[in-house]
Amino acid sequence: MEIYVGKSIRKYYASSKIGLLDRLTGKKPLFVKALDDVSITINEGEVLGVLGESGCGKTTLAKILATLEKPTYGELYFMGKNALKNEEFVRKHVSIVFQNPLLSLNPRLTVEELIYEVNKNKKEVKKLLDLVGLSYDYVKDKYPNELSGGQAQRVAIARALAKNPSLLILDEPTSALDASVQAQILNLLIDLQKELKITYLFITHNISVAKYISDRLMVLYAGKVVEEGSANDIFEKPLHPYTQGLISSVPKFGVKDLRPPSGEAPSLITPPSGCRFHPRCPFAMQICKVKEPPLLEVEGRKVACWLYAR
Amino acid sequence: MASVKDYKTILKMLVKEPAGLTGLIIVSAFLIWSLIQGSLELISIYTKNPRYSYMLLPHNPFAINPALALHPPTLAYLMGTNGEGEDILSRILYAIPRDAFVAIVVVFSSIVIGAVIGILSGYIGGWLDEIFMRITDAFLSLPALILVIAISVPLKANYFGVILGLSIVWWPTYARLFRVQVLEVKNADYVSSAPIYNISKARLFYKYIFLNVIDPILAYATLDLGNVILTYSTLAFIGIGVTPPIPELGAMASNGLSGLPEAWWWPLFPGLTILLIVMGFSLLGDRIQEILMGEVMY
Amino acid sequence: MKGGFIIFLIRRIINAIVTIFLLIVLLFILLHIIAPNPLTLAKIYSGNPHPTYAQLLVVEKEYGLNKPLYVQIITYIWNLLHGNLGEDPIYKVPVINLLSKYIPRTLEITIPATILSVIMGLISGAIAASNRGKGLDYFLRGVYLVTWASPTFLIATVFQLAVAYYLKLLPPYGIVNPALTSPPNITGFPLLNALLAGDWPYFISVLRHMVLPVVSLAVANFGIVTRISRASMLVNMNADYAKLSLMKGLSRRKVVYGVVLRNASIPIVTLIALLFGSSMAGSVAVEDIFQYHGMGWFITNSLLNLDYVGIISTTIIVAISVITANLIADIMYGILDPRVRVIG
Repeated sequence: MEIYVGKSIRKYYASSKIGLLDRLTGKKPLFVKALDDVSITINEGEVLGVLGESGCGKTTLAKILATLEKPTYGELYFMGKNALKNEEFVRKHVSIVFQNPLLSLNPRLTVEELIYEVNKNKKEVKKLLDLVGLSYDYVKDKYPNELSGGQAQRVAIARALAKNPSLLILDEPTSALDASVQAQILNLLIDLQKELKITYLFITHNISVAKYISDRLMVLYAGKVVEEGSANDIFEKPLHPYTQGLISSVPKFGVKDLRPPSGEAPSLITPPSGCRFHPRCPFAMQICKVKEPPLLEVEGRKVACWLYAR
Repeated sequence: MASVKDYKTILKMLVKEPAGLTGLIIVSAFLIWSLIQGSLELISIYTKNPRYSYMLLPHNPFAINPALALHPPTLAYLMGTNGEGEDILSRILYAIPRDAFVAIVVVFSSIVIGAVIGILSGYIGGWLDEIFMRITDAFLSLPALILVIAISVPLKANYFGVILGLSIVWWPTYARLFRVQVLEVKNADYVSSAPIYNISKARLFYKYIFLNVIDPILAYATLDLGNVILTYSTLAFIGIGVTPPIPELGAMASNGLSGLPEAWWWPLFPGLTILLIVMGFSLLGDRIQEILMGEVMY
Repeated sequence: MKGGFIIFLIRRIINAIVTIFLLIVLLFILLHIIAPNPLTLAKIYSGNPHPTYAQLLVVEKEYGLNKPLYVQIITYIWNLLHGNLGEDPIYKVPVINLLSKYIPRTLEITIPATILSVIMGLISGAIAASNRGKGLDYFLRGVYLVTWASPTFLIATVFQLAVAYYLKLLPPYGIVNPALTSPPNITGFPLLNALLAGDWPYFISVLRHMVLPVVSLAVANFGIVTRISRASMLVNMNADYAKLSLMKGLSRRKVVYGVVLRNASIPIVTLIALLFGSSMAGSVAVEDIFQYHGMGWFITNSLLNLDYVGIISTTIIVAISVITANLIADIMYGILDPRVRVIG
């Protein structure tokens, strides 16, 4: 069952302030096209991974789905209702965990206060802290900056779970943590998901993490979806050249063959014409430079690449 | 990110370092003396008995004694006497509470006004922000002293008029400070995600924004108390806010010029007193800034 | 990037003009809030401590005080743009004449004072940074503390006492030896007039009288520059490019006082406007102590004479000069640091 459906979402940000003088000199406003026609479907109970590198629009997507930002164009439906018109309803069921707990937790509140202000039930506060693996008595009077990175993130997770959400959005929740702690938090998240039967939207730039945790996967590049499908399928046989480049750019033990995509991420203000990946694509054809490929259905998943248009 | 420190910790850290400790001692002495002497002066006014106001002083600051005029510092008159034979030390001690009162009132009201304008401006943004910033820019384009002089004449330049004038002119810096802090804090995830967790607007304003913004401002305010005293004494120097025969430190320094060069003690001691007091605030404010923010900014 | 720079320039100039206008408007509004009754205002403008009712009416008519506020403001700005600041009720001459006599004399001490502050501050900051943690550093920081915490009048008094009275090195009062006749007034600046006329005794005399006021102002204000310069130097000394220069073999002295100092100076540019403003404010006390008849002295006198037209006019001229100084500093910063021009 689909619990969150987004259709053709676009999010444009003005890239510079237009003052009175600029209007007089005819300066045209430039936009950063953070998301350009992205459609997303989240199914109940699954872990949908969103994979992409910096600047691909994944945080923007997270904020829009969490009702913290409004899309410039596009439609959003949460549990059948129009999400843009029923913000309160969405906010009751959706929670979000950010990358850096020291920035996502009010430094002036103790752990107990942080969770209490979301769920005003002392017993629940203790239960939640237990659930994330923290000792209530030890942490309750501590401030976020007195905790280790892993502990603080556990608090953030507990706080997000405090309102019993049906969907938990996680924006790079482990990227700021050391590797061993990362693994602990990941396992915690997996356990929680199974136990509480929550749906996850898991955003990351780390391919191994995406592989570890996702049921389904969506790959974003320069504000557009380039590949979407079951995580196992994609990692076994990536179809889009960008996904292929990503997967082969992870150093694997024993493999001395790194082939990352060449070049750098494109500008979101003036993206390349046609397919946005074409300047870096080893398989670019004439049509790639001119026309944007639509999301084509190939082998049970979706790929935005002219290579598969037969 | 500064960590939350309670007052006991701050005090402990202050006492450990010599510069901060010196500042603390000077400021405490200044404030405690102002409280005691100031209260005595008030009691003296209510009971219409002037003796209360100079009970603790070595001599009556208003006692004119031409025979003793322009005497250099001696054991009896530690800072010498002025042109009318009044004891300078007593006059200085009498004048000190007035400076304390001005500084506290002006800085406090500037924080309040500055907080309202700065936080609203920073949080709401848009054209409100533009207008407020233009206004603060206009105020800040002039040195405070000149601006106060300009509005002092219609304000009837007595003691309270000067306090009012300084308050009108002093808040823009605080509005700026609050606004900058709010802009930083506004973008932090814990503030931007607050709507999802159903945090009330009041709680948001106080626990999320105000408390996270107030630290650097308190540190600056400590330093700023010294600044107000400097400006206030210069105003007294040129005669604004002075009602003779009530002594004011700046006015004493100005009158004392007529004693130069022989009676050097007359203009110098009042000036040195101001130097000492402002130094205290400076040392204390710097150290507090270091403690709260981990570094000194201004 | 020339086009970008011109736009940057225009934006800054428009900004400055808007600020001046806004200041004038705010002053008028403040004045009106404090003294809403036109007759009260008339009393203030009359310069007369006990005017008769008839006199008040005359003043009211003369300054248009019963007209609506916006009319008054527009009239004032219109007059201002034509160089008309009204007539001084005490001296009975156009205020602009008085100001053009006194302001250049003040500028003659505040501009050198600002420059001296910057130089003293940069050098002492560099020395303090390069001797970080050692006695010299603490000493300089102590000097900064004392001069910063001293009221300007204290510093001026001390200098007057020590140098003029005890050491008898320089004259304690005045702009110039009163026995000398002044050269023809071409520029309004006594120093420049003397230079142009080749009048050396006069020139030397003005110079000798300038030293104490300039040094007093500079000493009172240089502390901030020392502090920021020291901090900026420390940041730059630890920067990669500095270490690279050292590795290349340049002597430490050359690196610190050459490349590093140059880069560290950039933030100081933003201070220059602040220093100029402080000097202008400080001149009020300094000119009183040294009996230096410039704009500061004029303000103090106007206060005694209840000459409010003089005070308001001087305030506005001071505002214009400080805003101009700000503008120049902004532009200099734009020249030194190209990034600012793009962000605007």
